Amino acid sequence: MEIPTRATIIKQVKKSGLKIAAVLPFHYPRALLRVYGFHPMEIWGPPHVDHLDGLQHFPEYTCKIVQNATRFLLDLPTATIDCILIPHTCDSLQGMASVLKDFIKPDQPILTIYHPRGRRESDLLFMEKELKCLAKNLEAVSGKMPTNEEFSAAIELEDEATGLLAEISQHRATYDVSDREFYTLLRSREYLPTEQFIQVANNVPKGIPELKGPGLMISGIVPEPLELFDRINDLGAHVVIDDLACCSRRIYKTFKEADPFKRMAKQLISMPPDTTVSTPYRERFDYLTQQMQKSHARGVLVYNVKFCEPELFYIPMFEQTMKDAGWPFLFIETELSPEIPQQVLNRINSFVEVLS
Amino acid sequence: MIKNEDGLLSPPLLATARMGELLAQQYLEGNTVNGVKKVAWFSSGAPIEILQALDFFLYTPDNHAALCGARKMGAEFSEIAEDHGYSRDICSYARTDFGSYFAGRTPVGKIPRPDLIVVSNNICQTILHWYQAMGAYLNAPVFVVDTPFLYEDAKEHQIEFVKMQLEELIPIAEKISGKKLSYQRLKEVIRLGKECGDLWMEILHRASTKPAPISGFDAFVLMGPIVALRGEPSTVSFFNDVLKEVDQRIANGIGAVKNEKHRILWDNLPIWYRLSWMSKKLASLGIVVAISNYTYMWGEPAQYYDLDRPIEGIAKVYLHTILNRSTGYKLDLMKRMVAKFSLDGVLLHSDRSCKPYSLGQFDQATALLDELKIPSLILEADHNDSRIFSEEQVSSRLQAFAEMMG
Amino acid sequence: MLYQGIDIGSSSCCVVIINGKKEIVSSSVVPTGARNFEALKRATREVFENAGISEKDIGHTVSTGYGRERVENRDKDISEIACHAKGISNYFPDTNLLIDIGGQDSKAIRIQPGGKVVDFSMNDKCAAGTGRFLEAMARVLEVDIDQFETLDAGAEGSQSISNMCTVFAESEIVSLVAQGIEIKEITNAINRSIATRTFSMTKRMTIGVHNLSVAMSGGVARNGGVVRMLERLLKKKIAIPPEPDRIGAFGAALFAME
Repeated sequence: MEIPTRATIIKQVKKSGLKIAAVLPFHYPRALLRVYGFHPMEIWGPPHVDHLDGLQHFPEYTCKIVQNATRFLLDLPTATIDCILIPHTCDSLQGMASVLKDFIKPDQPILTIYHPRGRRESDLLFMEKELKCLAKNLEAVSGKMPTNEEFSAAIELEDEATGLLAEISQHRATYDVSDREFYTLLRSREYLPTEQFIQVANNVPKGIPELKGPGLMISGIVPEPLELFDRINDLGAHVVIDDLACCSRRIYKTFKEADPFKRMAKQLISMPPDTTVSTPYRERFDYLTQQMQKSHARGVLVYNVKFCEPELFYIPMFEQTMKDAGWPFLFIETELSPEIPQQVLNRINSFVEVLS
Repeated sequence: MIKNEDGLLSPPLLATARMGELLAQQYLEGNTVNGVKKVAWFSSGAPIEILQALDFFLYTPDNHAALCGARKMGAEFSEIAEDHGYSRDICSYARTDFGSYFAGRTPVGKIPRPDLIVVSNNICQTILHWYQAMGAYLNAPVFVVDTPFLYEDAKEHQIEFVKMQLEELIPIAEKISGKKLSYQRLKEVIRLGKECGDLWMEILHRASTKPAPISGFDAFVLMGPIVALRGEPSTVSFFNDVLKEVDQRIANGIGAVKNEKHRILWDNLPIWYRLSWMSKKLASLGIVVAISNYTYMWGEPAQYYDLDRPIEGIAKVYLHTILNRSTGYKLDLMKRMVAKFSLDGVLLHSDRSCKPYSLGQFDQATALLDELKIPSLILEADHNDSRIFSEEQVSSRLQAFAEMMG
Repeated sequence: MLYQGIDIGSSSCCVVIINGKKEIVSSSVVPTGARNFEALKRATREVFENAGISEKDIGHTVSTGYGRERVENRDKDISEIACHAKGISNYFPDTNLLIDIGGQDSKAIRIQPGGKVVDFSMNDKCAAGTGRFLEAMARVLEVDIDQFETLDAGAEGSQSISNMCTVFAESEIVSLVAQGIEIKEITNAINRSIATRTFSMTKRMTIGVHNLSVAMSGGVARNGGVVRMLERLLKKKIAIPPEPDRIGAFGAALFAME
């Protein structure tokens, strides 16, 4: 399974004449970017960013996604990206977008998108208008004015990719790849052009993977470094179901609507139960319980980015619900360091022993 | 250097005691209200006008949490919340409130159970998670008034969104209250709400006099009613009394701090468990907090109330809370306050558990120094968790700050 | 007439006596531990003995540091920020940025010509980035803390310490030693860890400053390894005064003179 790296894709995309939009986590309208000629490159960190000019814009209790992403964006050569899109996911990303817009003022325009927290009539109508607002901003940067056909084509393509993502996530046990390869594939959605992702996803080797020991659900924000999965496998467990923000929480429903904005709006507010939109707790836990039952997972590993408040609020009841149902629960915090600290490995080790 | 810290402050306003009574009465009624009236919990920034017009008894966990903080129960309750799995890295108001709930203890006697919870994220996103949790614990319906963040000036579709949600709230609240909303009553509530907000702004603006007749610390204490009893006739009457007393002080040349040398702005939430200590410490350095944007927040958007278009007016008011506005807007506001209140410095409380307020402070401090040539102090602490507070470190920094102002 | 400056901190107590010409007549540093007033008595006694003077020769006394308000014979107490700025400006009048890395905290102070403080930032929440971090690492490596300056000679800089926390960094060092990583690379990583943490805290103090002129104070200024790395990061030479750990008390004494 050959998946090109981010660096390779950046070069490739620039050569093809497309613009690049750096996108922060994590709900955003891919098709809309696409139709205005932007290729999204998501930034989830990255880990181990050198603070080359030392400048601190955010206090120490700000999560590393915001700290590292800001640093990373400012250190990139200006010509690399054409705009920065920051969805309003949480207080920290809100702060990042505002500080970039009002103080740092990089050369690239900072675009924002606010996805509402509910699924009411008012939420849908707002999402539609918010998407139109973003479209205007994208038009101003790209100069493009897409036709309805181009919209449909872009949405259909993303729907196809989303469908594949759903299929692969739900049937993990039928793909003969290690967990690390599996997640390398899932996470390639963060930067691969959609056609390439579809191609790769359609060619994942089928078969029963050689994975021993108990199956886990992995939840949280982003599994960085990917070596985490090698370590989980080494320690005698494997992943059977996913509830990560960067992966399954973006398996949107698909809809058929004549109006492309209505269609995209319906889709964007149809995400699975998610902490960042403050899904009512019972709804989220009922959903996760179903997932656990369907996948026959034996325990839950939450891998959260330190200081991520949306996740932290749900943890106590999440843990209680899982434990009451007989599933052991492990909570780990990461600061996006490039290596997994020994303490974390020790804890996973003990956890797997409990499950076995 | 003044060794003895007594006699640095004027005695507290007489109105402070009366305010304590007002709030105490509300809490007392809350002890026995279940079964008598329908109860609505609301987040401090949530629109309550519809609920008031439907005669809900109103209670806000935010105020309760601040009260616990002021009574120095924040750390103890936080520990209980932490024992139940809540992280130290979440908002200390939430931890305080969770802890009080788990312990079954509260300084207000008994907290009324909600028939409806109305929460708005116009002060932060964290509040949604907190209130959804309480909704789950108490099996109460939660209505979210989602206020999109204003990176720029408010757009039509954002105002429309909030308005639509308010319209969605009406039938839900009517069903629970068993009453029909009277627009007459709603307008009366709005009129009083605007009057409260305007009075509050007048009171705060009196501090632009030299010496400042009231300080930010007085305002932190007096703000209770504008948060918890907004739009009540008793609040209007109370604020009128406060204004009279403040004007009396101005006429007699009385300042909140007896030896006023420096006037500053306090940015971010107060440090509830050390109000008295901070007030005296600053006073001993000749510093008066002439204004704070935290107290300002409860009056500033009142300008948007509109009796001709009541729902739209409410939508605008709650969309425009200072915490729902960009870091650039906050800086502009601070600059205007520097001019209006003749300030010599800005104290930015880097509140560990309030990210929406704290992110952006570094750049704001730099801008204040570069553009207005006035010094700022970044003070690391927390609004409710006293374990994050170090007296010696804070004392050192405050002294350095006073020396910077000359 | 002589003037006394007392810097009573949480890890050490320093007393400096100067004459009317701003020359240091005598100084002493005593580690404090829990009984910092015992340390103060000892430091005072030493300082008087070395100079052959007594209490009555002292014109004025200014105290600074965490324990400053508890020094009974003081005429005034002034923040350590202002005292450090004052002290360094006496040695290097052009200094507009002072970096102080002490036993338990680190500070970056922006100074105007004349020694007035314009802005400052501090790290006093965490041992990492302070002298305490170096002490912990020295213990783990079983070397003297002074050796950090020379032990990294010839290092390529291939190693990094990824842990932010001192306690975790200790275990990280233990595992590096076990892996057989050369001591010069480990020392280099330790020095770099302090330098980069300090650099982050410092940078905000340099915005809008033309002709940056940097000086350093505090015990860690004696660690040439850290100083060299900071010079590289700041792209500026850093001026180090004699007796860098006495600058606070010296500044206090200068204030006492005024």
